[in-house]
Amino acid sequence: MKVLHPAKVSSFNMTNTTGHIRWMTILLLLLAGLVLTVLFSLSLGIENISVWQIPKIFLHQQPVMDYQILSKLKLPRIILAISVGGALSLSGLILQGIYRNPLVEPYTLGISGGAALGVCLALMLRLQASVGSVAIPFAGFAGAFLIILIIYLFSLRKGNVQITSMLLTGVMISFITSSLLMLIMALSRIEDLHGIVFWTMGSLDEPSPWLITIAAVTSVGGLLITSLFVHSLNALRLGKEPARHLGINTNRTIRVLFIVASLLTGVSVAVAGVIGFVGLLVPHIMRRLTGSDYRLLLPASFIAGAIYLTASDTIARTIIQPNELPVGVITGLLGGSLFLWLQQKENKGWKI
Amino acid sequence: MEDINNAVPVLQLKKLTAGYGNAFRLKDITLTIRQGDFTGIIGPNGAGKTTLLKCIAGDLPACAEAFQLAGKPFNRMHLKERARHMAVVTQKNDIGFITVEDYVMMGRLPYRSLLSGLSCVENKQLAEKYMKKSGVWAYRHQAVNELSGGEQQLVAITRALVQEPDLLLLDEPTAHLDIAHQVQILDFIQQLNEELNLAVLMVVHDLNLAAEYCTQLLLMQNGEVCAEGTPGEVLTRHQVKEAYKTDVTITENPLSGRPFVFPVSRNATNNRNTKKKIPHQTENKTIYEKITAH
Repeated sequence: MKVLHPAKVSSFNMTNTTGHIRWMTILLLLLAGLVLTVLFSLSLGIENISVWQIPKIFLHQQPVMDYQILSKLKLPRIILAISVGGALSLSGLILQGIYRNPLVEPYTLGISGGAALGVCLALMLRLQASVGSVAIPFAGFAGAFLIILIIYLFSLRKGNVQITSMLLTGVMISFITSSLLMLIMALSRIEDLHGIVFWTMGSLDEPSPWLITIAAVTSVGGLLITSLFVHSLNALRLGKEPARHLGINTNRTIRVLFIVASLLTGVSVAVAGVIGFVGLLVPHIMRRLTGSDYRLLLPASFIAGAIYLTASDTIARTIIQPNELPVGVITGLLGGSLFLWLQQKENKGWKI
Repeated sequence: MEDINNAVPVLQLKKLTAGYGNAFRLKDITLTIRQGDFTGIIGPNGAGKTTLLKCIAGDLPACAEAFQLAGKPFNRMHLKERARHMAVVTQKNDIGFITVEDYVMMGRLPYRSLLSGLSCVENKQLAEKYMKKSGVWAYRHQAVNELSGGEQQLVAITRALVQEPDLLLLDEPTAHLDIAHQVQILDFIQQLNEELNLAVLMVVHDLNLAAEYCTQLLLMQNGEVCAEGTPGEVLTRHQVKEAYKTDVTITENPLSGRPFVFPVSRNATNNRNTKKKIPHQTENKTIYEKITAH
């Protein structure tokens, strides 16, 4: 018996190291996928540059024309796509985790509605002419923050966070904002209407470098903060009370993560408009591929969201060159079809 | 060591009062649990058994003159510290798609610091030890929600053990289980109680299982403790009849010597009162004849 024991322990560790190897492999594959997507995205578009030349161009900063196009036009847009894609996917994952509901996504809670409302008001009042183009994303921020504040006051402030009431408050606010949005659209002039409609379809064409920086910093910051809560999210899969019994401060976890998810969504919507489906679809597909352990699911969803939006944006801006499609069209079409195909392929039902 | 353990009870409640909204459901509960105690909370539906368990688990706020876990005031303890002293196994374990191994490892969460992981060697060995002890080791790679009710209960108890608590709280651990699994689960809990000197507090509906396994019983009625003591002291015909408003007959289990409670049906009472012993078959026949006569 004593001879057998050490062998058993080591075999136990072996199975776990293979588990870790599996996790590392998945993450490395995803990172490789992201690098490939970025390279293709750099190569395709206004000036077709061969994928093999890209590293050379960046190293030697030659030829100047190509370097300028890559670094000033294509790269910032790709960075924005990575940040927004990662942020939306992360936000969806967090919300599905704290609500224990697979149908929740960043837009269910009315945060994007608030941002859209702010932007539409700004467009209707033509703030971009009087204040400058920065007015639009700022109006978006303001709208999103207002909604976060309302949800906080209505359901988060109480000592004991009631998840169902939070969800209901969010859904109701979402209805109110979309009605107000329709009201504004009905009242606005036809020339502004085009801007509003186009904005609501989402676009990653953002000229301001520091707005891109804000988006990138928020996104990475959100990932870092959330990664402190992976064990709490795992425990929340058991339910709120069982998680508390394991020493997890569930109320604090839900509050902090809700605010992180709101900020991620608010910033994304303000900078890039309403880009649907990333927050719903990517966490689902990742759950299927990697399982529901948040220690793996969190980074995997972030990278996959970045890949998904970068690829969608590349398609959106190259498919009808020299014109561009709104990226929301591509994410919805591509995502919806992929979703249905996966659903009928293995009809197992979603697992949280 | 023995002396210290006896001096500081694992759980001490003095005049605990609690309720939902404005209605009080628990009044002046006083309770002391020491290491090695195996206490059962019994009582009719709505007596406040589960409410009391929720208060002790920290799910429901309560007022008390004293409420101490391992000698420390409960309200001022951190959730993590509570979880190191007390493990809770609830009745409905709505565990999602998690492997048994991962779920059992979650029992180490109270011992984790902010930045450290869960899967260090000590944690794994501890999980392995208790999974082997409870016999869930064989299906450690299966998802918990794919197991049977009895297996899920064992897995939940294993997770609780990995928390290395002083006190194990169980809410009807044998509900919806067949008699073989009831005995299996309670035998296991009894084994832990004896081997690890673990204090057990469980809500239990079945009076006979309570009598068979618990060393101390708490009979509740309308949010108050109406009797406490050994099974023999609590399960008397008078007290059970008073609490449950139902007549029973109590004899002794011939093997264990513990009390055994027989329910008494209305027919049986009537027959006893009229001192007539009609065989079952005949009685049915007479009823049948009565019906056909009409």
